[in-house]
Amino acid sequence: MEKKKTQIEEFERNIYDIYDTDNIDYQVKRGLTEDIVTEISKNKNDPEWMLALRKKSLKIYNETELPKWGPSLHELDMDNIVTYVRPKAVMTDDWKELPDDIRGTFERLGIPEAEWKSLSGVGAQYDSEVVYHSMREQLLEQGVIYTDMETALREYEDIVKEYFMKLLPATEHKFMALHGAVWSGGSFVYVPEGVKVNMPLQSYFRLNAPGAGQFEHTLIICEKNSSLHFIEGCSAPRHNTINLHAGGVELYIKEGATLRYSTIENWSKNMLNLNTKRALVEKDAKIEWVSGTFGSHITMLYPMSILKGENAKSEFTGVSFASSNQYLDTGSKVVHAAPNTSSTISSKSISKNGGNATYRSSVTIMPQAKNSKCSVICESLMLDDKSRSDTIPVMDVRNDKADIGHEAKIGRISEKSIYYLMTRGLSEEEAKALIVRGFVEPVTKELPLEYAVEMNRLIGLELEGSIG
Amino acid sequence: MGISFANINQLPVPTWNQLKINSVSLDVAEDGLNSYSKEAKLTLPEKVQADRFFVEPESAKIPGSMKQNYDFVSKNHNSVFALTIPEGATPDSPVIIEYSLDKNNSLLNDYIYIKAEKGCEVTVIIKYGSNNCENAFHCGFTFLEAGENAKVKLIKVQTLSKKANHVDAVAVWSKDRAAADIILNELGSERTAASCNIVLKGEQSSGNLGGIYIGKNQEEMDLNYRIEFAAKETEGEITVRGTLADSSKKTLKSTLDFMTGASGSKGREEEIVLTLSDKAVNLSAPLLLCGEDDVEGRHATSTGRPDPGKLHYLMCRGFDRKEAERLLVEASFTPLLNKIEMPKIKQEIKEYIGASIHG
Amino acid sequence: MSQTLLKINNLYATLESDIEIIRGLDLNIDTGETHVIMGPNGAGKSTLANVIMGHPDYIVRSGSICWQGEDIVDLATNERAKRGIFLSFQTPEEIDGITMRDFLKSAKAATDGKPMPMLAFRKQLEDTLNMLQMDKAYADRYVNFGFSGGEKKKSEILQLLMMDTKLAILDETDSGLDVDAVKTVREGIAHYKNQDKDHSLLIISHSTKLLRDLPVDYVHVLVNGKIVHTGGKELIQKIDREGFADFLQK
Repeated sequence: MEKKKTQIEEFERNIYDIYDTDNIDYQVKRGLTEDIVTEISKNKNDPEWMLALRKKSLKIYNETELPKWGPSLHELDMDNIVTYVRPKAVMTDDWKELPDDIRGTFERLGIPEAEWKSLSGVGAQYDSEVVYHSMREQLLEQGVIYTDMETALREYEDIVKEYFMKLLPATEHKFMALHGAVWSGGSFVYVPEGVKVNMPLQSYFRLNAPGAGQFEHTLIICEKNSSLHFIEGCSAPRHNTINLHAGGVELYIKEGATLRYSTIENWSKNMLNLNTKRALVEKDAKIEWVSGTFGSHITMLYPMSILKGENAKSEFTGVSFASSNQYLDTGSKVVHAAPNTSSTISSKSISKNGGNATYRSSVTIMPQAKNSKCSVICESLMLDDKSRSDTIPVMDVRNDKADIGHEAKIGRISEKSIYYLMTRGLSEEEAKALIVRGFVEPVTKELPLEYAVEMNRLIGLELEGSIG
Repeated sequence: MGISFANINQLPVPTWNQLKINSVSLDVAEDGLNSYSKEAKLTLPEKVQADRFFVEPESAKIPGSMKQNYDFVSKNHNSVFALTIPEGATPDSPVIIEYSLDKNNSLLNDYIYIKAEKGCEVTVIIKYGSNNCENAFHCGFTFLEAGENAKVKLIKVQTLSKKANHVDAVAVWSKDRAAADIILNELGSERTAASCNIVLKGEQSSGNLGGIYIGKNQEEMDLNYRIEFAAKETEGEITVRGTLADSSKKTLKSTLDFMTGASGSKGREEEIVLTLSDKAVNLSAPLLLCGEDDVEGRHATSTGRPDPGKLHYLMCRGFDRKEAERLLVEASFTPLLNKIEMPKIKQEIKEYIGASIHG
Repeated sequence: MSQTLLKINNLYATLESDIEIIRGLDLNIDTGETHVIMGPNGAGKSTLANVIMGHPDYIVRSGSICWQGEDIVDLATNERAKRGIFLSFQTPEEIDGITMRDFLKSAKAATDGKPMPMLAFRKQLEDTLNMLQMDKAYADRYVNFGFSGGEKKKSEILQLLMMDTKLAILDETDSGLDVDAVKTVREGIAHYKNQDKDHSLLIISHSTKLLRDLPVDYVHVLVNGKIVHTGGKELIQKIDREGFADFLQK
């Protein structure tokens, strides 16, 4: 019985790995030059200011060094990356209108089904362009905008111009500059004052073409006292060449608003995932980050919350699972910039089969952030001695009326727990899987049911590989 | 002429540059400094041998992060001790080396090599104080090798003058079942870059690193503490208690580094900081690095004002706010101070702390 | 001759926010007197103790608190302690790292303005420990740290007797005192009164068990931040039988 189960899981794994051939409509040449950037811009009918932003970003990219910390990025050769790939599909709000193989991919990933069951709206990006976007009628009536970035740039240019890359300037780091130069696709969400969106919106990002990069930009504005849950999913089939993902996520959360931003990332293991996410949180507002990192060869991801208004709150719940040949360098950054702000970071990581999990964070309490509270809890589980697990937190406290607590723990699954479960009839692997699921429960419980199930299945898949 | 240290006290694994925590650099003008030419005061119990020549440790035993410190001291030392505690010796009083810097002896570069042979039990106390001199510079390198089953306590007390620069490094190498207890008191000087690296090379060896610091005025401290768990069933603990007043700034990097193969090892690190001023800057980077699954590592930090309930309770018993704060600061140092069994030295430290907090 | 020790006049006090907890309270305590304050939950009993002591979370909006003729409303807590007001806490703080001995020695030095001679201090401490049948080892434990409820009570009484107290305020708001604790407090009060017949007491309590054998001069009923009735010891039995219903209606 156990064997059968394993087979099913192995089969299921393939849904991520099916690669569609021949659905590229158009792509730019490999590499990164001003001509390529201009070509992308022309292709997308950018307004003047956007072309200028792209060119300026490229200049900054060329002047900026690679980070001197974190996993080695020596495998990345920008000369070999195709920064823009347009699929053979025109954006639609009807799955049926998509080409068969593209639709098939999203069906295998369960996106249309999830949309029908539990989502308020869905966006689906395939390589560099969004191919599907749809939202329930009722939200439209409430004035909610949920569309792809290209449409947003055409139809809501003023809003986009006001916010685009203001929170994530190209000067932030080399890959933010790269993003500014070649960004394409992504989602734009605008929730008007007081509107509470009951069911989540989801954007799914699929990178299909080998050797390509995906640089989608997500911009969410939650006006006063609104609320939203946004889910981001990512996957790619496995290739032998390096793929690059350098997305940008900017979240503006106005007074009294709440945004939950959940990510389940399952990139293939040839992916460099260098994503940047940041939220600006105003008075009485709240950001909740839920983050699951499973795939990719290298991930560097540290969602950042800037608590700008009094009483602003941030919660970060993250789990990462590093297996062989994976370097998952993840964590969170928080800046407390106003009085009475509070933040919590809860991070869990698992490493096995030679995987490398790093928790990296920074918490800054500015002088004006009186009576702020921050609590960090960080746990790492090592499943064998071939793997690595590092915890690198920094706290910078600049006033004396702040209350900061930090706890970290590192170690392995207790043999006593495994033994206890085995006396109850579980195999060693089942016992381990059960304990690991318990370990990541704080994240799964924050996700809608379907995604919690998917995550548990991913953990099952990951652990299955470690048998023997 | 000047003395210059570039990027010392490196964080064992670098992180974001903007945080300015990866390393520290120090430039000191040599003008007006006079080389330490008097004798250090040495209290030597029977059975301990003190030589005055430079004993070089095997280069593998000098941690990479301290190479610059070592090179500087090996080139510029003006006071050298090589202490040998013979096999099985248990001197009944501590070895005490006291440096007192003054106007004519304001630049000290000391090298102290301590070899604690098999099964010995010893306490070594090194004091860096100053007397009537505003400006002073101290750079020290202390190497301690704890032989099999040796029990060594090394206590350093730094109370240099308020304009002093202090660059100190302590490297410890522990063999099988050795126990090293290091207590570092960084109480004075304007700029401090101090580090301690304990390598638990022998099976079942243990290392405890206790740190006490006080920051006041414009003082800046950069402390880099690390324990490397390099053998089976080793145990190590970093316990730091500090207080920051005025516009002082402190950076503490504390690392537990579990090497592959260090199975059955356990480590703990803890820092509790009391801040007494809203201008103080407090940076902490408690790292847990781990290449072995069969280990237990833990860390806890807390920082904040003295507890208001406790302050009120003390004020109800007649203490004014400053005294109540001082008492709570002293209370937080108690667990570490209790490890110093010499009442006189303990009292000196307490008085120095009291004076610093009141001042 | 008895003199006025504490005189509270038309006092209004709030918690940090604007919630008024004491609303127009008057109280007069002379030397040698024992006063009891009773009242339903939330009447402001513990607040009164904290306001007299100058707890920073409470703000006096109007009225006065005079100690031997001096208005002490603006004095820091420790200054009030120096004048001889002692508050025995219901749940005393635990202070890890300071021994009882050092704490008492420093506290006495702080209130007297000069350190007490070592020998005299040691003798007083030993005598008081003996009197309370407390083991000498208490002196070397950390202040209240890891103490049981009963031990904490003893620690408060020990401090009360060691300090130069003129008015002891005993906050025993919770009726949760066990038999031993009641005995400790009762004996402590007896020792305190023995020290000097001018010693005054303000007991905040529900526990009629505690009050049974004590000579009590006045019993005050506190309702909604105001004393609504004052009587003699007979009031205790009445409240014991009937509760506060009678007073609430007024």
